Amino acid sequence: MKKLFALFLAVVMTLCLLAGCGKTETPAPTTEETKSEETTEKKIPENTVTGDPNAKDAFVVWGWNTDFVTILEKVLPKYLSVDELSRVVFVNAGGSDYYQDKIDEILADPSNALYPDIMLLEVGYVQKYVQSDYLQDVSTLGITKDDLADMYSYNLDLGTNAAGATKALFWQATPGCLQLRADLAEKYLGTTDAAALQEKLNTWDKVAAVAKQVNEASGGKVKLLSGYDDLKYIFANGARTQAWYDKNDTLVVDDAMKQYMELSKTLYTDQSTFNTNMWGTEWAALKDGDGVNTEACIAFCGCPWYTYWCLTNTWSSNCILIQGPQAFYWGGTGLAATAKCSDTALAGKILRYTACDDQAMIDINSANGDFVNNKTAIAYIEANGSGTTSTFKCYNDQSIVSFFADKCEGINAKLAKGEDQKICEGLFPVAVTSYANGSADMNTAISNFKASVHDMYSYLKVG
Amino acid sequence: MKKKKTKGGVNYGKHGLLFIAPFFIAYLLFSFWPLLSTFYYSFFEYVTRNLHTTVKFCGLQNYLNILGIADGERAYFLTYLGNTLRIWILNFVPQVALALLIAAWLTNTRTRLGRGGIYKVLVYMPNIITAASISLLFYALLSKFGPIMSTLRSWGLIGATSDIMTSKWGTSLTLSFILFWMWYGNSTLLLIAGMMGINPSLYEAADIDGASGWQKFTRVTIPLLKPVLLYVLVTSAIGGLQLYDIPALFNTGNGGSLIGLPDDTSTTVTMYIMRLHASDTGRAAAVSVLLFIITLIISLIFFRAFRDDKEYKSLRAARRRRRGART
Repeated sequence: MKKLFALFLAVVMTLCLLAGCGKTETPAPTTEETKSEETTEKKIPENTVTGDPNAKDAFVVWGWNTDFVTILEKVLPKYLSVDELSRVVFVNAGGSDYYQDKIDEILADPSNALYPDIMLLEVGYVQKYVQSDYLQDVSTLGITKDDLADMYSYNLDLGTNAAGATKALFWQATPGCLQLRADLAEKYLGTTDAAALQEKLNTWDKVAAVAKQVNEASGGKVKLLSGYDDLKYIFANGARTQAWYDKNDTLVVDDAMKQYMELSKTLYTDQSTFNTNMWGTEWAALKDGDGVNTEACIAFCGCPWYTYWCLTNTWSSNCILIQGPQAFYWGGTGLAATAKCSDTALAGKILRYTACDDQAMIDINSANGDFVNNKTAIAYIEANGSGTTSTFKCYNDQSIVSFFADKCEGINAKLAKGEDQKICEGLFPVAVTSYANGSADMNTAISNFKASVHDMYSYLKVG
Repeated sequence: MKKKKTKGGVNYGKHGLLFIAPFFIAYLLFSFWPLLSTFYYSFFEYVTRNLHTTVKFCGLQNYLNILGIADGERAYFLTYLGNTLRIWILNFVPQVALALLIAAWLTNTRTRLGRGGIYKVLVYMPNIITAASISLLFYALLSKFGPIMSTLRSWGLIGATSDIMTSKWGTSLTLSFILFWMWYGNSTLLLIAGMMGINPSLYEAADIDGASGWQKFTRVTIPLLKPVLLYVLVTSAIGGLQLYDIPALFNTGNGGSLIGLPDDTSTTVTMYIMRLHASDTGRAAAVSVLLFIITLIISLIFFRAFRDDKEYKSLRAARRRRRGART
């Protein structure tokens, strides 16, 4: 009896192994997105240090992925001497979720061998560091207003503090767009012409109406948007006219955010989205649906790095870029020198050749395909082609660089605050969902939202 | 146990102290000192703004804030405590009931399950997988377009928009089920060990007196199982009230924000502590202290309920006699 049972278990185990190898018709949620993989890694990753931090003239740079390493290896050797390069020590914190915790710890410890001389920063939290005393004004590093003239102005605003001192410089520009899948757009929107599609989707009322129409036409298999959560950056980083709190630290919910809540409620009630959350497994799966047997979406929120690196093969030569109802920015990495930087001359050089010099930025684009924060460089790339290694092409060979070149105008980044990331990505979506699905009315949702922000940041008042 | 050699012999009593010293040193350093520090930190208000932290003494203000007694503050602690208790109670009642049942079957000589070795292994297996992996696995299986929900939808058993992740009871019941599935094996093994310590001649005596199965269970097994049952209940209470890894990975908001969806209804107290610890350490410490007090109260309730009355009364009488004899 026991032997039979043991044999049965062994057979079951082998079958389980084989089941994994078999072909599956249903699109199992593929976690191609590196972001969602990072959030599943709950174990905090170790820092990876390249270079010798204990050398006397070590110059430490902190980051959370290998973007800067590409620049260090492929671009900076042309502008820095071999000695200077050999001094650079790069510390990779392992992931953007852990970066802030780790860097906050080490900034409080100036005697540590790994104290950063330069640190990378993401737009979501750059203001937190820019407003603090930990970073240096770039003018003390030898970078003048002329050097900064070629940058897109919204990026400059993000790196400048309330007193007007610019501390962080961005080498990436990330103007936002809507990406539409050409085959589904043909079927349900009737056209693949970018101008016509922009006309169809240039106000939020039109977006809601089109979403409803697509849902009805496809019987629920294909919807315009994967979730109202996708639109959060368009409103938060584009449409707002007031910051999350005023100069008295009283919380403010801008009219644009209220409009976002109303739009979400409309989309929810019409059932014209799949109600997914960005970077979730379902959201990822909806990119690859075929619209007949499996669910699919026509439009996703995008920006240069998204278009190049995050769209799947289903979208290759099948993607149309349009602005949508609102210009906005999404993400972007910059660097800043710390106040206790050990070598301001070298820091100035690195910052200059990563974020200011035209030729260097053309080289950066060749090396890693970044949409660089330099108008001259972009004009050059538009004329002569990008060197990006991404093989992604849009429908009808729509030029990605030309499309994004003018999408940086009209972005207002002066409203950014250090608490933006947690508010926009964590706390506000809870309010939006509770209003959209009807479990709270507008006033209750907003008051709950303000209470939760006050709970997290007790210096912000509910008012 | 001290061994005293009388009449000028060597006293080995102190050696016993040396053997237990390492544990106590480690406990004092790594458990007791942090506990005292937490009490201390809870009386301070930490404000971290733009990387600049100011610390101010504020007495009991943190406690008033989290309990919602202070002006303009919400009782977040009570909400999250409610969530935690809901998830824990729905898990531990079925868990202990099933564990008792399986333990009774496996130790009963009448059912031909032999020593029940293979069943013990099967029952314990869910516990050896890490909670994080299980949580993610269940999320992938039960997500709106995951395999289970898609299949049920195509069979027409559930509506087109039904989604566990947006339903408060759906998420809470799933979390309770995951917890139950992971820990019932542990409880079963402990209760089996407890039941094996019961003298079988008591059951035979009960049989002779004509007791039914249920009467044997309630009059013989349960009373004699009290110490082990007390251990199971107290450890379950401690573990359940400090639940963190499963809800923190199951259905949460973006970017690792510790907000238990939907609408913050599956956030537990420890998730709240972790959410606060980066921004307001004092408040997080106050939440920890309150959680400690609640766990203590629940454990004391269990201790009182499972107290062996006869033994307690005889001890109390003996103490009174000793005191009376002294005066």
